[in-house]
This record gives sequence, structure tokens and C-alpha cells, in this order.
Amino acid sequence: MSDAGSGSPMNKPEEPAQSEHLNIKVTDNNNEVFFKIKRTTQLKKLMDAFCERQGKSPQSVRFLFDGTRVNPTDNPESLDMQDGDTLEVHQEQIGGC
Amino acid sequence: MDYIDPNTREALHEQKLARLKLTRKRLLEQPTPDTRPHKKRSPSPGGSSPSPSSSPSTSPSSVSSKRKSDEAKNEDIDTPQTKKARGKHGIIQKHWYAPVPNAIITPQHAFWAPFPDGPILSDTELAEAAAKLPMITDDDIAALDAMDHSDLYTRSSEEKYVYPPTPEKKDLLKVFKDSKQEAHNGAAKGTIHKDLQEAPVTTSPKDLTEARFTSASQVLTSATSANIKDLKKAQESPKKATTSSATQAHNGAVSSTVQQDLNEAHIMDISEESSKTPKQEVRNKDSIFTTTIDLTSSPTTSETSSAAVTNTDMEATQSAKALPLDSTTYIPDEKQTLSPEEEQLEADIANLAKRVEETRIEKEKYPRGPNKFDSNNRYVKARYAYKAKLREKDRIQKIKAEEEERRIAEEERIERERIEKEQARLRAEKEAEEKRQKELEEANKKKAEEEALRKKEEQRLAKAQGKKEWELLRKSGDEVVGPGKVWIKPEITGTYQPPIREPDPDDGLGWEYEPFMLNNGLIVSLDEDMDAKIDEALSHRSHTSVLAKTVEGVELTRRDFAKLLDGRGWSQGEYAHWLNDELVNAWFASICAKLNENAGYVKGPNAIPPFVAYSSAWLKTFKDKGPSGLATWSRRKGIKNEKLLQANKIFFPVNPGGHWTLLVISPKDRTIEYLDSLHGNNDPYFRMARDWLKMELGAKYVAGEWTEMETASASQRNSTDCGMFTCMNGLALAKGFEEPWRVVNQVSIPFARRMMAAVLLNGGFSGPFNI
Repeated sequence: MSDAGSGSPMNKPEEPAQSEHLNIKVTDNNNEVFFKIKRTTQLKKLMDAFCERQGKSPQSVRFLFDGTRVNPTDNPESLDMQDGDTLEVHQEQIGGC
Repeated sequence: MDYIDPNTREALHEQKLARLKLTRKRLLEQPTPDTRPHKKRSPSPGGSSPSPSSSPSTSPSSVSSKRKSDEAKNEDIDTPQTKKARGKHGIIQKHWYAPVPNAIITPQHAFWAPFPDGPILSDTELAEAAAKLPMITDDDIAALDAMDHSDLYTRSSEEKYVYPPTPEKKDLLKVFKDSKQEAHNGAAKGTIHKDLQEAPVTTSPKDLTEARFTSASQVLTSATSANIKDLKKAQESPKKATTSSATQAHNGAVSSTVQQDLNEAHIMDISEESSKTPKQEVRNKDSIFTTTIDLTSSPTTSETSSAAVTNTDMEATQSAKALPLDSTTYIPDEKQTLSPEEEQLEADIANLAKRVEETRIEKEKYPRGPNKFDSNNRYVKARYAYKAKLREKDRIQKIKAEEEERRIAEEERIERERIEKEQARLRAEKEAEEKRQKELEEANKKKAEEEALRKKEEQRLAKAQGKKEWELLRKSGDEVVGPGKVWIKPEITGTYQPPIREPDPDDGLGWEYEPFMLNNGLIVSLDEDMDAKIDEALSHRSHTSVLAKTVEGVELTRRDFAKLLDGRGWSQGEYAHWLNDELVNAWFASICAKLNENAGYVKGPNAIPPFVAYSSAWLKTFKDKGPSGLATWSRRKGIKNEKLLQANKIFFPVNPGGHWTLLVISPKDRTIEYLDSLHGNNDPYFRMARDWLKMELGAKYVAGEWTEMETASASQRNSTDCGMFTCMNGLALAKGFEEPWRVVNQVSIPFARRMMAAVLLNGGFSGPFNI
């Protein structure tokens, strides 16, 4: 409770200021998936949902937000995401010759 | 039987001659005037006349002794033939086709019989009939003809033959015919008595003159050279007075149609008889023969006797002169002269009757047809003619066939020659073609040899160049490393054993000859702790186990490290040692983080990082959305718009798929570099860089300011290390090496891999890895 209580007063002032929920578009340039998430929700949820939906392994895809790698532990707030932002999904790249 | 061999023919001929002589003898021995056969021609043993169309009625004596012709006929000479030929009514017929002795009428010939006027047969039938007949040669025909003629015209064995009228004679006869017609017109005017036979003997010579003239004019034309000869003969020997010409002349005068054959045999006989009663005078006056002939050849023929004719009339002489031939002038006996019409009529009637009778007798005698062995038989003649025609036809056909054969042969020869020529031409063409091919092959061979020589030379030069480069590298290595340092042969420690390739003597640049000095300021040797740390990391068996965390917070797993160090053993089917984007991006992020830290960069709204690394995903976004796809990226990096111009270096790891290269933009230096360990085409990435700069800078972008650097990367000598080259080249550039190939080459890669692994495990450049 204390955690939740301490957490919520920290977040709550921000939420009304911006908006509680964000609409995030996730696209790999072939498919577009829109997610409505909270600002504090870890993006891991979103990534897993996308991978599950597209039938892809989480290790084989990279999520980028404005060219920055999105880690599973990130949330929209930490990445300073706005409503309607887009997450790009890229495949693993390898090269040898 | 048709074939008569020469001996037989000879014998037949002799036989005929003998019979003729016998006949003549008998005639001479017979004194009876009534039986004198002057008015009918003596039947020859052969019985053939040269012309079948000749009629006995045209003989001169038949006119003179017309009224008792029947008796005379009855009492003709008895020869074996005449006896045979004596018909039912006791009239001796001069049948058309007297049989040849020993002749046999074969059944094949019998079918000619019903057609006295000629075979009413078609050509085909005639041909068939003729085919059935035995072969008769031309020689046989000629022999038969000659035999008959000689038979007919022989007076005696001593005398010469008198031949039938020659063509000239025929012409003369034709002329005579015309003149006779004129004379006949004259007679119609009454200059001649109607019935000369009944005319009194005392007719004044003057009256007679004209008639004489007319008849003489007629006669003279018929007088031929042969007659003249006879006349001349008669002149010399008056005893043998030539009544022949006179008789003939008379005959011509009285008969409407002068026949071709003047029955010389008859004449012959008459002449012999008349020689016994010479009542003729032959006078020569003005070198013109004027013959006075008493036609009363026999004393008993009173009606035709004493026709003394004198040629005192000048007209007659002149007319004789005017005639084309100098000949005898014959003055006929007025008593005997009949009207020409009457004579003609009589003659025609007699002729017709005779022919009818002859035909009847002939048919009775030869019910199966006329004798086919008489060469004068018109059927036989027709047959011979037909045979000759056939032979001629055959001959012509043969000639034609030969000609055709020759022509075909010639054509074939020409065709053959043409074909041969064509073949020769084709052969020549083929040979020429082969020659050309050969030449071409030779030329190609020569060219290939030259090419091989050239290549060898090039290789030699390359080898020399390689050695030169090696020396250069060695020197530069000295410079880099510093004097007194020793090149070491790379000693591979740890689990990774790089493949060692034998040096290739041809290219002269085996990778083991490339100079590399460890600890050259870029690639450092690892201490024991780091080695242990790497080994410990690689000892993890699960490829999902997280071994390290990058400066960006990305977790690196055992799987990622397998790509860096021991690829093949860990995940089958993946390319060995092919770096993935996690490693590359982590590497560049580490470099930038460390260098920025060194430069004193603190992240803030207005701070500008000197080193920036873009995620390798930029290329896909760029390609998908264009440069504007990257517009939001720079804000996150802190180099938005013109701020980037203050950045030192911006790294763009490039992976279009399967290959890692590096695009580096140095805004401070205004340079664009592109490093490719396989030395691919730079231009597309230079263009992308310029597009990105244009997008970011907008009006601040001045194309001329930016230089595209030809910074060289060392060549990778395998198909796995491009990612390592990309990372190490980036590090070298970041550390300020202007020529990355001097410090990063194929030899260095195994060390670089371990160093990179150590750095990543270390969490970036910190501690021992201070840049």
C-alpha cells in the first residue's frame, strides 16, 4: 500500500497534466498495431503483445523509438513519449561479408 | 515362199526369157494374118505390164482392126499362160495379175481378194495383215521389178531392152495432150472428114493437108527420142522400116488418151512384121525426117491400106519445124480416120467391157483373190508400199529414238556436269569455310596465348607490387610501433583459433604476411583476468542467459557472444562469426559514450555530443520513409538541425543485408567517409549522407562544403569478418587514426574479437580499456 501510495502521488500529478493514457502505434512497416497504454506501463508488455500478435520471437526484434533502443523496462514516461508516437520494429541484422 | 533367193530368181528369169523367145518364134511362124497379134500385145510369160492402168484398147492396132478384135482375141497365141487364162467365152483376157510360176497363194493373202479396187482396210487392219505376212526385203521387190521389166521389154536375147517411158517422155505426152485438144477443135470445124475411114481415097491432098497438119501436129509431140532413134535406124536400113514411131504417132492421133506405156513389146512385134512388108518410104527433106507410111501393115487389111502419104505441103513441113522436137511427120491414112469422139467412145466402151469381163474372169479364176505374188498386183504393191512405209516409219522412229536417246544422254551429261560443278562449288565453299574457321581458331589461340602472357606479366608485376607494399607496411609499422619494437607473429590464445591460410605465392599477399603489431594503440592484448572473464562467459550453456548490458541498457546474451567468438558451435545453421546489430550498435554506443565522457559531455538540452552513433536500423527507416524518417532521431541524439555541425563524428553502421559497412560523417571536418572491407560501391551511401545532411541542415547545407573521403579499409580475406572490420575501423577513426588499414587488418581480427568481447563484458570502455 505504502508503495502504491507513495508511487501514485508521484505519478498522479503528472498524469492529469499530460494524459493518463497514450495511444502508441507499433509498426514494422508491414503491420501497424495501436496500443493504448498508461504512461507508466512498462513497454515490455507492449513489446510482448506485439511479438505474440505477430508470431515473432522477442529476441529477433528490436523496438526503436526515435532511433533509440527501447528496453523492456522502459515506459513511455522515461522515453518522454507523446500521445500518438510510433514505435518502430526492426528485425535483427547480421552481416559477415 | 515370199522370199525368192537370187538363184531361184535367176532361174525364173531364164525361164521367162526362154518362153518369150518361144512365143516370138511361134508368132513368126504363124503366117495367118488374122491371128497376127499386132492389135493385142503379146502375152508375156510374166503377164505383167509396167503400168496396170494401161489398157489394151489403147494399142494402135486395136483401132485399125477394131471390127474384128473379137476374132483376134479368140485366136491369141497359145502359151501355157494364155491357155490357162482362156475364159468361159473363149476370150483371152489379159488379166491383171498373171500368176508367177510356182507361186503359192497362202491363206494369209486370200483376204485381199474381195477388194479389186483396193483393200478397204483401215491402217490398223492393214498393219495387222501386213504383220502376218512374211518379210520381203527391198532387194526382192527390186529383183521382181527388174525381172518383169526385163521380161517385158526384151525383144530378143540379142537385142537391147526398151525401157518404159522416161519422165521426159511423160512430159512430152502431156504437151501432146494439150495440142491434141486444139487439133480436136480444129477438126470440129470440118477441116477433116467426119468419117475418115469411109472417106474416098481420092481425097485431094490439099483437103487433106489441114487434117494432116492437125494430126501431124498431134503426132509429132508424141514422137520421142526413142522413136527418133528408131526412125534413124529405119533410114539406114529401110527394110526395117520403123513403123513403130508411125504407129505410135497414129495411135496418139486417134486415141484420146495416150497411155504411158506404149506397149513397146507390141510395137516390137509389129515392127518385125512390118519389116516383111516394106511399104514405107522415108524421105529426108531439109534435114527433117518426113516419113511416109503406109499403115497397111498387112496386105489383107484393105481398109487401112494404101495410104500413101506425101509430104509436099509446106505447111506441114513448117509445122513440123515449129514443133519442139525435130521428128518425123506422120500423115495418117484418111481412110482410117474416125471422128475422135467416136473413137473415144468406142475405145471407152471396149475398155469398159474388157475390164468387166476381165474382172469377172479374174474372179472366177481366183475366187480367193488375185495373185499376191505378182509384183505388179496393186495389192501386192500396196502391201510392199505399206511394208516399205512401215520400214520407213520404223527407220524414222529408230532415228528419232536414237536422236531422243542422244538428246537425253546429252541432257543427262549436261545435268551431270551441272551437278558436278555445283558439288565442286559447294566443296570449294566448304573448304573455304573450313579454312576460315581454322584461321579464326588460330587467331583465337594466338590471342589467348597473348592474353595468358599478359596475365602472367600482370601477376608478376602485382607480386612485385605486393612485395613493395609489404616493405612499406613494415616501415609504417615501425613508424607506428616505434623503433626497436619487433613484429610478432600472431599467437592466438583462448578457445578461438582463426583459420590459417597458407600464403599464396601468386598474389604475394597472404594475410599472414600483413604486418600487424599487437598493442598498436588500438587493439590491445588482454590480461589474464580478461581472458578468464571471457572464458567464464562462454562457459554459459543457455544462449538466452544475459552476460552483459550495454551502455544503452540492452542486454547481451550468450547468443550474441557466440556470434562474436564461437559461432558455429553454439547455434547450428547460423553463419559463423557474423556479428549482429546488437553487438555493432553496442560497440558504437560504447565508443561514443566513452569518448563523449572523455570530452566532458553531459547530456542536456543544449549540450552537443561530439560523437554520435546511429542505430544500424537507420538504413531501413531511411529506405522506407526517406531522410525525413530520421528527422526525429537527431533530437534524441542532441544534434538537431544545425547543432550537428558542431559534432565531431557521427557513425552510421550500415547493413543493407548480410554485410556490415560504416558510414561516418564528420561535421566539423565537413567530410563523409565510407569504409567497406569488401570495397563495394560508395556512391549510394554518399548520396544518403548528403540527403540526410540536407534534411537536417536545411538551408545550412552547402553541398560544396562536404567532401567525400576515400578512406580505405583493410580488406577482409574471408566471408565472416566484415562486422569486425566495421567496428574496428569505427574505433580507429574515433581514436583519430586517419588510415585505419594501418592498425586494423585481417591478422588483427582474432585479437580484436577477444578485445571486443572483453569490452562488452566490461560494460564499455572503462577500466583497462581506456581510450
